[in-house]
Amino acid sequence: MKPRIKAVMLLALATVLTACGSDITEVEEGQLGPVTATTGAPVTVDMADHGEHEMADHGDHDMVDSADHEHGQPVDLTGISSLPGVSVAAEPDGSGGVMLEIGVSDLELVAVDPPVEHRQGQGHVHVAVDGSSVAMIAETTYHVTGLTDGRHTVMVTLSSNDHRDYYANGSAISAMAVVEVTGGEPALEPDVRFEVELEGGVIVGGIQRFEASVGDLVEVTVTTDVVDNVHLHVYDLKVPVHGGMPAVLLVEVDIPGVFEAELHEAGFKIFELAVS
Amino acid sequence: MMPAVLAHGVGGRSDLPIPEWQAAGGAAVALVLSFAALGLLWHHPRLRSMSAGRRMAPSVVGIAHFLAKVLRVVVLLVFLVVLAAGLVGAVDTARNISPVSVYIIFWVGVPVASVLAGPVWRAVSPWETLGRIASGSPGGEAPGWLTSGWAALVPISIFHWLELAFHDGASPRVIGWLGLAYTVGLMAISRRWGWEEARKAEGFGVLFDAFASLSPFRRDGSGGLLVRSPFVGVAELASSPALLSVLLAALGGTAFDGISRTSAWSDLMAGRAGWEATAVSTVGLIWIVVLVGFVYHLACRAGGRITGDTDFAVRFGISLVPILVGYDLAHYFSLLFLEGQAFIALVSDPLGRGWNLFGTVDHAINWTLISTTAVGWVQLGSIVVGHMVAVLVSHDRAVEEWKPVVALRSQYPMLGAMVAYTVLALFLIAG
Repeated sequence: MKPRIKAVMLLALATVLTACGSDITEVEEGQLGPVTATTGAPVTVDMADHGEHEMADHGDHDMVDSADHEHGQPVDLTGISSLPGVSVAAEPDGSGGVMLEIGVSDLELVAVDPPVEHRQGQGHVHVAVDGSSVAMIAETTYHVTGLTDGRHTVMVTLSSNDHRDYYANGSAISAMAVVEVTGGEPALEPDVRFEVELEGGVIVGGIQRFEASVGDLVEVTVTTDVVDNVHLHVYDLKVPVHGGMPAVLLVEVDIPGVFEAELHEAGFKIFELAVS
Repeated sequence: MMPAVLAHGVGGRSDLPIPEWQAAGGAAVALVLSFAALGLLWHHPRLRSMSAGRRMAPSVVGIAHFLAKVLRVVVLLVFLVVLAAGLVGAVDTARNISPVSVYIIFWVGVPVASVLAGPVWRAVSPWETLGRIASGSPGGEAPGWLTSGWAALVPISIFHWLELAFHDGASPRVIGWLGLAYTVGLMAISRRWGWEEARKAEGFGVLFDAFASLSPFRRDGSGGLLVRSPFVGVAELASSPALLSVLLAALGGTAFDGISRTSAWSDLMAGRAGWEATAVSTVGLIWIVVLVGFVYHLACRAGGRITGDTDFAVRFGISLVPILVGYDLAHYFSLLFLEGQAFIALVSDPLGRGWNLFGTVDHAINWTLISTTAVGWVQLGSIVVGHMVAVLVSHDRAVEEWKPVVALRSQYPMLGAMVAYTVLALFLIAG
């Protein structure tokens, strides 16, 4: 694992912590100061580099770390007249990739490398596959490559120039597509599988501690009847979940310790992962 | 935000349970055996004479004083930066230097440095530096709440609540404003009654000075340095009801931190967030502090009955110092050496403005710097050694006051309390 990315992971963890606790409030301009890429890590994604990686390996964080764009409080646009919107269509390319057609309305797309200051009405698109960020783009097409065979979830979210999510009516302005990828590498078989189920905001069977060994590929499936994100700390996976679609966290665990996973918006712990 | 995560300022990772939870049994046996050995062999007080120490060479003292001067300036600068970051830096916990600085470098790092190197906080503390500058000529008698030392309990209690119970304790703004309020408060007291008195309200200094008594180094009144065996210096620590309560509050806080990581506590907190989580944790924290205090009170009341001593609890309060240090090490050792590494990157961009002052902004946390086995042994070792030193110190105090037979009997209830604390502590880290 690249050392720099590890540092960013910790930052991302604490970032998300803050986000977890904070109510979504209108952020005054200038109050936060210019929020640029955390720790000076590059904001854009090198497509070529990206293509070399196994998507199923996202536990390795060799992809873009979400720390770069999970800053602080989101920008709440609730109530403005021309609310930006986003849509996504995902078409498998038959060789382990997916072509994305992204539709953006009422938002001027601005490239963010080099960093630019937040301006209302401007922004860009964050692309995440299976909960891990893969790109931050100012274009409306994107080619995701290097995926494994099987089902993948693509999520596009509108972001401000300073990488805060645009929010409206209590949730991020985003769109999601589920694709069946073919022609890629065969999906890796997890070493251990765990399941968590929530009913009416209550964890069935209480909070469990799942045990795994260093080096294991761990799969945790979270089923819930609410719309939220599942967030695993330190490994920093954030996977959307809702009634129709469980969140599947797939991670190769390489840091020993006990790690907490929480339901992001609800703000409470849903399981622990003990890696020894 | 998770209360348990917040508990550590930055976190989300905690140590694996130590595999040998039978260790608790072994530790209890070790305590009883060392108690018996002391009873047989240690009939006269020795620690006070041992803690006097050997004078160090003037050249070494000179270097130490020079280092202290440099560090005093550096620490003052870091303090001002951390305060500024808390007040005006990024609101994001991860991109602001204040949470890591306060909850890890200050709250865990300074105690470790104090135990190793002596009264370092007294030498470099920014409040010490600023307080001396602000210090007015003592006008009139300082009030009782200040001279008695009870004022120290205020910052220590608030800090523990912030760290362990408040759901937003890692927020830079909370840290910044409370840090500023504390600093201004201390300066006002110093202005009014002089720093010598105001220092008694600087609870962290009071606590860290107590930790420093375990160190092999001490200062004499004239600025000389002396070296002695580790741990023995605690015998010379002046005990008082106020210091005792500060120690018990800190001990209860650390015990609550352990409890808040158990699965039973997880279940209790399940589904709770925000102020609801704060409320439950506050009740839990108060409960555990009261419980830890009550166990100590019971042991001392029994000890007082055996000896007819009315000052028993205060007299043996110093034995809590090594226990507290042991607990702190057990709970926070890995936090200091793993999550604490974040400080290296943050120092280059303390306010989260995209700076790179020292070129360290990309410094990564090495999560495998210390192995889980090493962490487990440090946890076990520090709790057991802490309690053994406590037994030794109490025993030495007892033979100082009473004939060996009475002294030994006076310590039975204390031994019971120590065994209870040890087993509880190891049970907690065993998860």
